[in-house]
Amino acid sequence: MNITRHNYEEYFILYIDNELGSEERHQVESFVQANADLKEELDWLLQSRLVADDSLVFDNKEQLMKISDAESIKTTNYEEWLLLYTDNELTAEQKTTVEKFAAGHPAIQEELDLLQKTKFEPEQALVFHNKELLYRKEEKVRVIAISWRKIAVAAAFLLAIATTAFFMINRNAGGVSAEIAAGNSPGEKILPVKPGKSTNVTTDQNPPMAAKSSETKMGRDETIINELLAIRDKKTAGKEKNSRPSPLLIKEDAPVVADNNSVKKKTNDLPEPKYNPNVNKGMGEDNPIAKADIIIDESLTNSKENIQAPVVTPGNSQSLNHVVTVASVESIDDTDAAPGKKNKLRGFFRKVTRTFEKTTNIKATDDEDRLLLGGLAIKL
Amino acid sequence: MTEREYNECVKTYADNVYRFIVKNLRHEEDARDVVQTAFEKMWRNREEVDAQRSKSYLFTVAYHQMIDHIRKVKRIHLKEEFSEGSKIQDRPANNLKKVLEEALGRLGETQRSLVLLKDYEGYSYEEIGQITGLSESQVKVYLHRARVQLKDYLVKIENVI
Repeated sequence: MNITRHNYEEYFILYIDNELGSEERHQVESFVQANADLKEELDWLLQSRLVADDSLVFDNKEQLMKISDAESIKTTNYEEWLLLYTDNELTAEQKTTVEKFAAGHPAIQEELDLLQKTKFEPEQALVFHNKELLYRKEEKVRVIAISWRKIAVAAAFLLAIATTAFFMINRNAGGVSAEIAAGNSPGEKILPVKPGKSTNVTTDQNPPMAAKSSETKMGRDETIINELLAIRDKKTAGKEKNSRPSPLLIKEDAPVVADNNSVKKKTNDLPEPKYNPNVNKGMGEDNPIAKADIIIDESLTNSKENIQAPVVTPGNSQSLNHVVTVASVESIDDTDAAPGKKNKLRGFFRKVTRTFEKTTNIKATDDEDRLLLGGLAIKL
Repeated sequence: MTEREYNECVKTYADNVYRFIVKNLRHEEDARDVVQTAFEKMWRNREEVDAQRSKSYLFTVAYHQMIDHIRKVKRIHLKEEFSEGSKIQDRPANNLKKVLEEALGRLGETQRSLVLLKDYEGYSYEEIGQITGLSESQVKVYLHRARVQLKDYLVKIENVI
């Protein structure tokens, strides 16, 4: 450090602020002695320092002090100690000190006793009844992980069941119709239907039935026969409630009456009259309605005779010996089973829909009264 | 907090919370509702509640639930606390108790809660502060003020008698 007349001011200030070491302070003092004209300047700077006024003091420092021991309890502040004692906020040692202090001052002791009386004791008789309301049990959600393979197996299983059920229903429906066609007369000979097996078709003059013979319209005639059989099956269904479902059977040589012109009635969904002879009124010979049920009733009652050789008698001298093939019988079954199955399913779906709509208040069908199925959701 | 700890908490503290609330509200059905709501809230938040601090949590929830209820309903029915038989059996003790109950009823909601938390459950100033949302100093001041008020009421009644 080298103090010169050019930098002495900085050293003087550091000297006043007591920021210099003893050696540096000594150098500053030596420099001032060597330069007497600068001593006055240093004295002025020294006088600019502020000195603390010791006469200024803070009274009642006790107010700021924290209660750190029981010795500080006095007659001036005992109340807080009593309250702390009552609130049990004191240590065991402090409590003892308070008790000793109160014992020495009867008035304070009385006040302490009074404060002790203000303490509340919980009423044990006051209990929360029906705690069961408060008990809880966790609902654990079980997540069953299903892999795509399991889903595939399940789908295949369902498909197999559905397919089996479909064929079973079809077979049952076919069996019923065939059995109805064959009748349930005792001793009736029932033969299984074999492909290629033919049956004769009879027509009768009275009641009027028409079976227009036309070899060129053989296929059309078979269709007509099927229709008539369907009508007859409908009519006899009510009577044949006791009939057992059986495999696809047909009574051998069951007489069937057909009208080749009745194809036009196929499109009519109205129920067929059973024994109404007026059905053919105004239809003329070209469009007769078959009376299949009457003939069938005869066949049911006179099965032995009918087993032999059913004769087809044309109603209007137009004889026709139609041969009903097995294929046509099968088609009878199909045409017969379809509406029944449809009705059953429809009834089932309607019941399900009504139940669903009652419970959920959600309309399950659309504007055209169609039930929409779907929306299967599987969480993966 | 597990299901078992929760149900143990119900078993242990339901009566305590109920006493605290019913003494504040002086209406049993409302107190039951508050207690039920408090437990329901604790059940919903059981994942965040430490079983060790379940009592403190329960009292905190119940206290605030009670304050909300008081502000909402503004309905306090003074309940007849004692039966006629008990009065006859122990008249002096019950008299003091009754006077104290009356004195308690004269306190403000906050002061009453502080006194009950202190006397019924023995909570410290700090714990009471945590439950009520007050600072420790506030708890101390309010509680001391309440205690002096109770004492003065007792002195006044004794002088009257």
